[in-house]
Amino acid sequence: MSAITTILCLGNTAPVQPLTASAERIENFIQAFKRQSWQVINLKHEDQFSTLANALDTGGTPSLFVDVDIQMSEENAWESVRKQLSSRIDCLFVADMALWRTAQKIKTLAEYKHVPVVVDIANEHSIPDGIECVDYVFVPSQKLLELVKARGVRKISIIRDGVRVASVDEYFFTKWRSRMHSTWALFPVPEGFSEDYEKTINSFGGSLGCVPINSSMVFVGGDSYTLAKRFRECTFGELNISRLKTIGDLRGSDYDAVAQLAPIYVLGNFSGDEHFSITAQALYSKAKIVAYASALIGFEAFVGREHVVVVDDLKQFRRAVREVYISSLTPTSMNNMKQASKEIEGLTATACFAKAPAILLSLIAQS
Amino acid sequence: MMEKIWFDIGLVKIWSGPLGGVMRCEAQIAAALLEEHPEKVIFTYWDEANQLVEWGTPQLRNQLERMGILIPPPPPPPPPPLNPTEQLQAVFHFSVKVIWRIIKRIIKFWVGQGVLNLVSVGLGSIKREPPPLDSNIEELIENVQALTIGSNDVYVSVGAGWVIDRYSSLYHLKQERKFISILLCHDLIPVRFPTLTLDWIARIFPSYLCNLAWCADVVLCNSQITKRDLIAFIEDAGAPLPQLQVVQYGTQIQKQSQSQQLAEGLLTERIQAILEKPFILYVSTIEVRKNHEVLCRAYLELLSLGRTNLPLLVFVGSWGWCVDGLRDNVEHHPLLSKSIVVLEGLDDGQLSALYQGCLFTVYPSFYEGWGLPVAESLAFGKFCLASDAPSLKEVGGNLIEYLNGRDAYLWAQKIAWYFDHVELLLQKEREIARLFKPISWSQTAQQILDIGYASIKL
Repeated sequence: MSAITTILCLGNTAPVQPLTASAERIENFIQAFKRQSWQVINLKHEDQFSTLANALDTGGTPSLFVDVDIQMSEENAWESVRKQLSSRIDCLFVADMALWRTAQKIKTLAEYKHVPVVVDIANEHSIPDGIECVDYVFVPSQKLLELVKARGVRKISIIRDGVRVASVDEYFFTKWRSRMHSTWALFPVPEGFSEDYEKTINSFGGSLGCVPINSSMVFVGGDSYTLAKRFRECTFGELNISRLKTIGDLRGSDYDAVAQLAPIYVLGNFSGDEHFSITAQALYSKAKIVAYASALIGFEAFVGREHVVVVDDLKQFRRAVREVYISSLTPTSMNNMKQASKEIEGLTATACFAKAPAILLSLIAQS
Repeated sequence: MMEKIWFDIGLVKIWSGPLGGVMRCEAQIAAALLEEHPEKVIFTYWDEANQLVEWGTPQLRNQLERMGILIPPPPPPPPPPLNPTEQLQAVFHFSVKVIWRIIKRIIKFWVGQGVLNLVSVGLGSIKREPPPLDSNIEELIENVQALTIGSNDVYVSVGAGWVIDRYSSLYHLKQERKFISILLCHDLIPVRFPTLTLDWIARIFPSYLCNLAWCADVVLCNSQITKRDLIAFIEDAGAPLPQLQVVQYGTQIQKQSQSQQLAEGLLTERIQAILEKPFILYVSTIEVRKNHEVLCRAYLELLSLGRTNLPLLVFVGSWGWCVDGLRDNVEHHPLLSKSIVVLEGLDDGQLSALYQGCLFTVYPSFYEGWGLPVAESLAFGKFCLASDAPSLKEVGGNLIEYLNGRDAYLWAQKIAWYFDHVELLLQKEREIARLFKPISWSQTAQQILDIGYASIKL
């Protein structure tokens, strides 16, 4: 084993900010590895941004490119990639299933035959065939852990998507303060899939009547137009439109600014295990929170805190939302914050991804 | 202790046409408060800038007189002629007045506007309505004095919140000033039966009701049914549930005897002609929900059975929406057009004459929040055949008869039966005279005052 550990990370990080959720997860892994002073070589697949990406500063991470469409068929193209691979790689880390076959191909090469392979499965749709043969699997949730386990994988760890802690330029705060005129609460919509919209609407029983006059429920995430349309189609359509504000799928500093400015978080009937970063972000903000119990699965340490109202059903949810709007925002007690601080720090991306290098290191040591 | 009732007369202020149920309610309660509790009430409305503005009692009285709700006082007798000394005094006073007016205009031009601006700025969102610009400066300064609705005051609105939507301003002001607000809910028809109402009303009504729930400390309901429907709606919408109180609407309409009205020339020839023959009365706007259809079908049924001596069916009310087919039948059908007449734009006196002169009344409406015409019918001692809509049973109790609103044959049978058995109608009328306790609008106003006092105590 060389003095410098080298990780070949297979996965696309977006070349332009703000990052997508999946690119951000890969970036968090890379940063966690780099904090160990490891060398990370990033093998990406060609995509619409690849040309641009080649010309961009990739933050000190050397990048290689492979065209996923020709990787198995055109030997010349493959040979080009192969020549660029470091002669010494300590671990293959596959973070993007578009490069799964590339990883398998690399493993066929004699010099990489004994290199451990670690795979990150970001969602249930990206579990590849042959997953049971890898050395280790990371997943972001308990639900995915169970799914992967059912596929025969034995070595699995949950690496949560933590809260991105970033300093936000005042420009973004000013921008979003000027857009939020009334009393508002932030409702993060997880992904923007059809079922997410249904769950969002069902969380409110189809009516935003629990939001006071002159106030708004701000929905962040997903497609604003579709979400607004769904709310308008409810029996309480006009009422809903008068109370909702949709700001779409914010990312980067825009999201960070809104997330930090939000005086109230409302967490719908989504699983906190599956949507860890949403609940984590709410808790990290220290704003008042109204949350369905499901949103706090995996966050049991925070249940019972003064600023977190946990509800079990629609009736309780509506009452809690009404009350949180009309109550004056009482600051959370310092004592409570002290108790919470250690746990809150555990919600950050840095803390969540910190255990990944340790696992890789133990695998490298065994190989 | 409650200081003032701020009674919203926004609807009365913009009145220009016939009196609908909601308009009547607001006007009658305003009149009762004006006549009996003027010291307790500030009559108010929301201006275009969404500020709560006082409407002077003279203007309100004038409007209520125009509406026929209040009777104007007789004109004052002409003043006696002046003696020479008094004439000289009058000339002197006039001269002084003219000179003073010139001085005031100069002050107003150079200084007054700045003073007025300063005064206005300090008032916040509530002010008296400024008089016309040609009034003198003292009046202006006096009338823009601060009028602040305070935590011991009560804001009352019984109008049409879905038409005049000031809830955003009311909610804001209420949060700032912490006063009690009492709002009235007339019905939930657009929510319960959206197909029986105009599309735009059905669309905005849930939003209106939700805003009502957010703004009100107490919601007044005109019946137990409205209260029940409102509770169900609020729970469904997730809005806060305010205190709900049932108040009874008044039933009074100016009663004048026919002979008195005839003597005063108040009845048109058409009404006089109607009063000379037996007729059945239906007082209501003509719209789908009111179910005039069942009466037309019942009459057609009776006519097809060869009944020739049917009483005239008199519809009193304006033509509404989606009734083109009905109108065509009423106006052009060879049989119906001879049996049915429609009277629009009647005043209370004319309506009173029709109530007094009819055989009985009918009220086949599919659904009502209350059913004011049924109460009015009883107040005039007249029997009513009504639909079995729940709120109508609250109004009529055991004094009237209820029929399935969709069964035209049943309506035909009952109409014929009572027409043929006038002695039964007289018996019913005696029973009504003995048992029906009419409610005056003064009593309605007093109920609202009492609820206001009770809310402040709480």
